[in-house]
Amino acid sequence: MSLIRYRPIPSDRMTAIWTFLGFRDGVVLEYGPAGTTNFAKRYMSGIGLDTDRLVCTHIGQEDIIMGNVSRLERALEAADRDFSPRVIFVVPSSLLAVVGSDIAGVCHYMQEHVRAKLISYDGGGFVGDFSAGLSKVYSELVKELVTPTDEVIPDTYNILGVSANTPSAGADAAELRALMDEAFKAKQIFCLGDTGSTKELEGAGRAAVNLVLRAEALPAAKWLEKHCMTPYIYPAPYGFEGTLNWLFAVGNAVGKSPAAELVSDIRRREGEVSADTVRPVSIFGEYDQVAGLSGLLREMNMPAASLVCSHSLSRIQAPTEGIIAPKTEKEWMQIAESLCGQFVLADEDAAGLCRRDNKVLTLTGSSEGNHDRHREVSSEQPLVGLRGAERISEFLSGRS
Amino acid sequence: MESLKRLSHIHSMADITSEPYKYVCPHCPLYMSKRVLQKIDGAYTVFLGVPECTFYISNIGRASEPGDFRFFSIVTDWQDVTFGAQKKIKAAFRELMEDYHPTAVFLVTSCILEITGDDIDSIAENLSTEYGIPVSVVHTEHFKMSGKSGIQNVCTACADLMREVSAHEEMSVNILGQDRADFSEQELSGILGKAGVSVRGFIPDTSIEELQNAAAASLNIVTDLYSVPLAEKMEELFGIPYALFLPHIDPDIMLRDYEDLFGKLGLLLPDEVLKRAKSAKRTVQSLAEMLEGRTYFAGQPFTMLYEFHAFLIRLGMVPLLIQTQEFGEEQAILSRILPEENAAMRCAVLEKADPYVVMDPEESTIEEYRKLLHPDMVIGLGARNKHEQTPCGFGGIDTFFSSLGAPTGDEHGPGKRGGERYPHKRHETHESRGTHERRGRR
Repeated sequence: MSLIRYRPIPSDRMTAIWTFLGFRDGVVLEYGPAGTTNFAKRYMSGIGLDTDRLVCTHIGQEDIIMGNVSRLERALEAADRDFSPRVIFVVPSSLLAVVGSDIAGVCHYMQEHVRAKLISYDGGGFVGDFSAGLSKVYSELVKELVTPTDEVIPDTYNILGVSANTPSAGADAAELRALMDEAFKAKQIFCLGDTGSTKELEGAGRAAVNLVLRAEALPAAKWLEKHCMTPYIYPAPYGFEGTLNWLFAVGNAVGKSPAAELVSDIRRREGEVSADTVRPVSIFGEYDQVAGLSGLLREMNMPAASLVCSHSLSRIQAPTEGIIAPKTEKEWMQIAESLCGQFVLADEDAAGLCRRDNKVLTLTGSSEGNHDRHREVSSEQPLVGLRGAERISEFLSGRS
Repeated sequence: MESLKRLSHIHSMADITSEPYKYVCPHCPLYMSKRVLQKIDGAYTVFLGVPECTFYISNIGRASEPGDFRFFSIVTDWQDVTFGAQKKIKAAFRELMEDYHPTAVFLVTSCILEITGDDIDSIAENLSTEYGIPVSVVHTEHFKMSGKSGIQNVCTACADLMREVSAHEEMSVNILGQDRADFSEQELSGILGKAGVSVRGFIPDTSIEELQNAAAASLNIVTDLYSVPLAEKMEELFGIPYALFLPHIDPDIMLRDYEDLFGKLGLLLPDEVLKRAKSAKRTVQSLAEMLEGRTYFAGQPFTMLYEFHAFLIRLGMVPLLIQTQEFGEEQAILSRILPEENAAMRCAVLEKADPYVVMDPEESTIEEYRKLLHPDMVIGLGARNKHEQTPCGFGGIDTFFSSLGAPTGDEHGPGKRGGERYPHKRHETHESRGTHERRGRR
């Protein structure tokens, strides 16, 4: 990475905090300088998280030099007393990761002194970007909290892979729920990464199927498959064909056929889609968005131009051919600035860089950088499922 | 409460017990540095740090500056932590120079680089030589300093951008530590204007161009303790003397600052200053009877810690619990510029009282302390991360005492009563009063 003009890519440690904050019965304790927590509270309340359960020890140079962990001990006791949480997630700062503090060791001996289960995160912001963080955090959460079982509750499912920092994630999960209800009358047990409780996650091993929304949740899905015998379905349903294939795959996994009415409805709507003009299409977004939406392009016989992932591909097993992750921000900017006469699906920053002869659809909810040539997909609008396919195909068909 | 220490045991920030932060956390110096750097027109800034700090700082004020590329980041990863970030910084700096051609750059470090020991000052010096522009380093490690140090370090770094001048302009001053708009409404602004003194510039509310010519002033007026290091540096580099004109609670000390300022300007003290001093003393006297014997909790004072409490003690008040968020930095500066006075003030406080000292208590914790100590008054405690600047001169004294219920104005007409921020609770029973006094006094 080189000079960054826009925003650096969020780190694994940030991912840990925003994922842990999804647990209503948990507390996240940052062990590090309080200024980082101030920043985190400000940002994470902006993406819809309850930051009242994000607390901080602060730390001084004396603590670092002398290896003094008394602040952490006091804070663990205070958080346990004041919030009565089921779990305290301890997230040490990058500083502590560098000096090599044994936070897991502190949590181990402090476990005797508090009622909450203590779970420490050892990433420290150096595991990688948020994609690497999601992979690690999802995995660790299911290993730490899900009770292995061979019991299955029929007509139930988990969604794995919501990330609070992805504006469409909540709407995508809602779309999966709507599809599961309409196709199978199935009920969700837990949605990993969304708001929930650690108690609910403990029982997530009894679901009949796991629906994986993004590749980073695959290690968690595989752990659940191994320890709870739960089959999983991946990728998420992007496009009309993609949604149909997904519904049949889920049906196979749970031993039921999807509702015929829904299937015929999707086929009918798919038949109504045709592009007035065929233009090359470029997509900027997170890996599964880019890979999934590029599938919709194939369905519509639209040629893919640049397929640009906003994070590292290091945690994506066998990424779809043609998807690139620029090594520098400048490279990313140059790709966006070079597009000409295309349809572009992009995040707000890339959208702002595109020339006016492109037709741009912003995939994120912010209005920043938005102007007349952009149409916005807000956080209430999914990219997956039938609703996602309809919206994106409407844009690509040139009718909006 | 048993973990809290009393003032007599506090000699450094590390001595003050810090409770975990639950709902409101203080700002770090990195954040404060950006707030100040946003005020310097034409300044290019590069933040150095882990993805988290650089992400968050890039996000601050982002909506108000779309496409305004004055703030950049260089993100350090594990490889930089292990092998050093020099190569990456140099490459990114080259990109900055080629694409944006800045005339001056601030390099703002954060916690991680201070721990890994990258010598950013030397790197900046080399970059400055290579590209022929000033490259100033602003250190902002929160594990060593309070948020306000971010302001101090940006201000001090501004001196690196200043150019040598052939002669200083007579009767021309810089105001250090005040914003242009705030200052224009304050008494010193009018008093200097009437005396024929022109204000050349404001630091840090300035531009790169103004900074380059700031050394042309003949005097720096320091209105904030955190601007003292800049004033000292400008005196050392350019021979510009400085006058302290800090916020005070004691009208006599305020008057002394005025006398010193006008002495350094070579002017007679205007009558208006003497009139204002008299008025401020009357304001204080009007409250003396009401304040006598009252116990209090106090937040971070608008003036220096010991001066604030020594003065209230002189009025007969009894501090039970006091807050200081910037003890380390404040004492480091005061023990350098006013060592005897600062030590005397500490003695004056400890002679009469030995209050508990807190750094950043939560509202719920303050409430617990209140139930235990029953203060008669709570003055500003819990107000955190205040960014508003304190008025210079006697206006600041009037503002503070009017918040305690003093009449305002020369005529001492109907006063503005203190709002909810300064609630007064008087416990009239002899038993409880006696308890307070025993707890408060040594």
